[in-house]
Amino acid sequence: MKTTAKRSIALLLLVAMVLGGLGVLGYRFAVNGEKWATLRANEHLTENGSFVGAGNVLDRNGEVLAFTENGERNYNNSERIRKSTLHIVGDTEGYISSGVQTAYKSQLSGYSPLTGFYTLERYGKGNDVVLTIDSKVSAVAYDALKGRKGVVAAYNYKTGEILCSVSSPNYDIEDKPSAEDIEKNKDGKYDGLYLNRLIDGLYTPGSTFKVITSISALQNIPDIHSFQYKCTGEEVVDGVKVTCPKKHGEMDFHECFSSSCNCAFAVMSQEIGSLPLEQTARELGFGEVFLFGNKNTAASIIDLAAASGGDLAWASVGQYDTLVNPYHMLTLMGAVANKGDAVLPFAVESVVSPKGRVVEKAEPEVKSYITPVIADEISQMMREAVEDKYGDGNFENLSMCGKTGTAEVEDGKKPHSWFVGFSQNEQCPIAIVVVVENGGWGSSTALPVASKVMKEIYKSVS
Amino acid sequence: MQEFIVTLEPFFRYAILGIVVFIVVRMLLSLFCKKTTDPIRGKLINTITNESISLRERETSIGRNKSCDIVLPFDTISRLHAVIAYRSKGFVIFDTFSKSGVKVNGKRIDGQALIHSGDEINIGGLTYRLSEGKYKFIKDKSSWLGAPSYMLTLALLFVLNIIIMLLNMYPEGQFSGAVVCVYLGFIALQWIYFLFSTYVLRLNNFELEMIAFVFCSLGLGVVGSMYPNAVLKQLLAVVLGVVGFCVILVILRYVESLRYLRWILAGCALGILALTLVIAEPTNGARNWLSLGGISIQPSELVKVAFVFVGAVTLDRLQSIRSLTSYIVFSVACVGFLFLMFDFGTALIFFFTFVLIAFMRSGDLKTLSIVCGVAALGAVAILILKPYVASRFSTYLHVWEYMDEGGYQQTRTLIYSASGGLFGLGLGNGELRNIFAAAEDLVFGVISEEFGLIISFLIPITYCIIAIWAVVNGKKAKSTFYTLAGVGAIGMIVFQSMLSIFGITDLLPLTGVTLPFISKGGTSIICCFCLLAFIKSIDTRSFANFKPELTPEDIPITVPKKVNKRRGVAGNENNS
Repeated sequence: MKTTAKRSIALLLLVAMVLGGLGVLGYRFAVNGEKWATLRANEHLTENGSFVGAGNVLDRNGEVLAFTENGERNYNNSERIRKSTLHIVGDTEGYISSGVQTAYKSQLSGYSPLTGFYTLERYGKGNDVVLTIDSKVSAVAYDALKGRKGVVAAYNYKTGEILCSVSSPNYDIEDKPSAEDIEKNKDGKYDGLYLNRLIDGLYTPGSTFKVITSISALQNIPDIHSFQYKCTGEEVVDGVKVTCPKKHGEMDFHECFSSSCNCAFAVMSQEIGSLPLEQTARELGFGEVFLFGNKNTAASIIDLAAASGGDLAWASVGQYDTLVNPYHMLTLMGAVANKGDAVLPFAVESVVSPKGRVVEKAEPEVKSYITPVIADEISQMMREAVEDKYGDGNFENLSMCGKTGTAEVEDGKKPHSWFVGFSQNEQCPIAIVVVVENGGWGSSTALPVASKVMKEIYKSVS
Repeated sequence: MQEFIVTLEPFFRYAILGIVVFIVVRMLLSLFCKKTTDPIRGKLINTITNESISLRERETSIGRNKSCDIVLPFDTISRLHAVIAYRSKGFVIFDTFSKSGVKVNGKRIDGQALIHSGDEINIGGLTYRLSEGKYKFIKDKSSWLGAPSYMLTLALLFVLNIIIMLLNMYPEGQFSGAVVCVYLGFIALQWIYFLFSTYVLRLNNFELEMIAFVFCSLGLGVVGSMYPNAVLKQLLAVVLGVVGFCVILVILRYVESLRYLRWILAGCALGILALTLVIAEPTNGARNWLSLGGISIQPSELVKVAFVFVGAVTLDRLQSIRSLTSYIVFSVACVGFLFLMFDFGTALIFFFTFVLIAFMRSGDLKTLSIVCGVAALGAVAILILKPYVASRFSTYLHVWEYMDEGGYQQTRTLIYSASGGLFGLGLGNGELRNIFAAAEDLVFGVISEEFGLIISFLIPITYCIIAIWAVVNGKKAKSTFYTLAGVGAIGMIVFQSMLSIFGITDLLPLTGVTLPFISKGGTSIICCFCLLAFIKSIDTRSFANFKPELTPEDIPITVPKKVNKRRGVAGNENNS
């Protein structure tokens, strides 16, 4: 009898297996539970393929961008607003992975690992997501792009709130082009349709890179303020010819910047050296991945390790293998505008439960990039560029600082058109990035877009 | 009324969780913390040293061997020398073919003799005086942890069932009187059982039953909200199960008469399986249902009870391979029939139970490894010869790749279990219930989604803790039969829970078995309660208050014909 009882210990093996298995299962629920629960197959959330379990998506002024009614997902009445906010609001199928309706799926559905979908079950809808986006400004930006591919993004560099983020090409979510059309992609009309170019885009920076080169010059060349250069329209550096569109003549450091003189920067770059320039760029966030609304941004790329003197000359004016992410560029503008400390841009202000409780609130993150002294000087240089070259009339009352860029791309295509800048008006602390793909001159294509958007923003705050 | 229920729903969720967790934890603590209430039936006092030995067991074995209850390590004592048994007319001493014999008051006895207070017993030269106790029970000295209030437990069960009833009054949107009746009936059943077992069966501990009632409440809740028309049948099954539980508990008191039952049961079991195989219509790919006059039963569930019973009885004779042979034959026949019915899950459960009981009986690893090896070969052969059987398991570990095909049930179980969170969405609010076999095979997922992960995980954990309790307390059981049957039964329940839960969550291949005490299915519930009686038989307190009312002749204890001297341990399994 004792022996028999002793042998029953064999049963403990099974017990150990079961408890171990339950441990594994519990672990899987803890790790994957949210992912599983928010799958489209979950009929708590999805009805007839539509994400009906989601709460509302609202802009900063309470304008409803997306909502569920009678078991159907609906969007804002205005087609302009629908298109301009497409990549931020996102779709319900998950093609636009950075859109709020995908990236904030569990928040929108009110999912919590503790209570599951209880909120949804009890109140019939999940949480509302309040965006920092201003739908009116976005619509103006959408109009200004006139259907050209590119990105317009503006944010408050004091608070980090993104007011406008328009990515093109886009489509009307209430009237989506057929899958066939998208598949065919006639004339490249739908290139990167589902990408939010603000966070996924990588562009040759062109002259906007001179901001970074200038910062590096201020850091690495002790007598930069006595720098003088006479532009003859071309300069040979290390056997490579660097050209300017016209002869700029005799200039100091600030004038080189505002004239955007390639030749002067080519000479300056040889004084800085490729490693210090790359190091400055890395300190300024090249190679860094930012978290934007639960999704990673594409990291800006710079690699000057194998660059010759000629390569370095072109790199200093943004025409080498260097690629810049617009979100990163926007952050950098924020840093320059805000005395060296960038408040990282974000688009989701808060998540609010059906009972009105704030479940999640944006916590702005601040990163220090440059010293206030350098930030002030760069601001001043960019201010001079607007005053002397681009025309202050484009940005009335804004005390705008800016830099255009005309980034040469592959042969046979027009260059990408850039404008980066920010307003020094205390009432309107806004930084902006505009990229128009193959748009031509920065000053003639991107700048007018920025001008329209900045004016609209100024109107909304004054 | 409906609005009133909806308003209270958030409160109900936490009330259900609180009551379920409280009762289960309280009952498990009580199981482990209780002290024995066994009476000292008498004492043996050494006439020279005055050292006294208490006689607590119904049968006490005396001998040189270490596995005896009283070990006397002297050369004059045989390995198993004698057994003192407590019978209705008093103490009886049996000489178990010892070399030097047993003397009572100086006279050598022949086989057995009645002994009384004051009699002097000489065992291999040692003399003891018997002092009979006054049959007084030792007061239960357990701590407060070991003495739960069953009134409180029943009151909480009442509240639990009323809550579930309220939540279920409008299954599918319409008021259902049947559902209300079922819950009131279930509450009545709990009280009737409590009174009956207290005053008629003279039981005073109900931990296992209370846990079973709690789990049944959850199961009835799920069935009631999904199948308002089937819930009455489910309650009927619970009633039959409780009746079966009581009947088996009474039968088990007469350990000696059980051996005659085993041939009958074994025959019936094989007969009904064979019958099913011949006449059953295939349902969902398995031919394991038998329809008799409008009532369909799952014979394999009933056979489970017989299987444990037969396994536990056959072996109580001797721990030799020979005694195992007939059990092996019986088991192979059962498992074979189940395979032919394509009921692989149940076949696996039977096989596991066989291995567990056979190992406990014989400790014969060699034979068992051979049996397992042959079984594994057989399984592989079937998978090769009948590829469509293998295809049933092809999505195992790949369920997410076949979300809408072979992995449909598993992925939906995971999705909806995660949807419920720790506290659940509330009874009736789930989505998993709309999927095929939700109340049977997928019930773990339904419980997770609607009652929350805490309660759903509590169920298998509770079975595991009961298994640990059975192993720890197995050696204290009054008879080897109880140990074998109890451990076998809880082993079966734990194994089945494992197949059920891990099958639908893709930790194991999906075999489609029910979750004990929870799943819809009448035969399954009846079987679970019968198995529970075996588990309860381990608990010494189950029989503590029971006074044997046997015939004057008494049933003789089993005495081995021959003592296996070479192994030297023979007979020690016999003293029940």
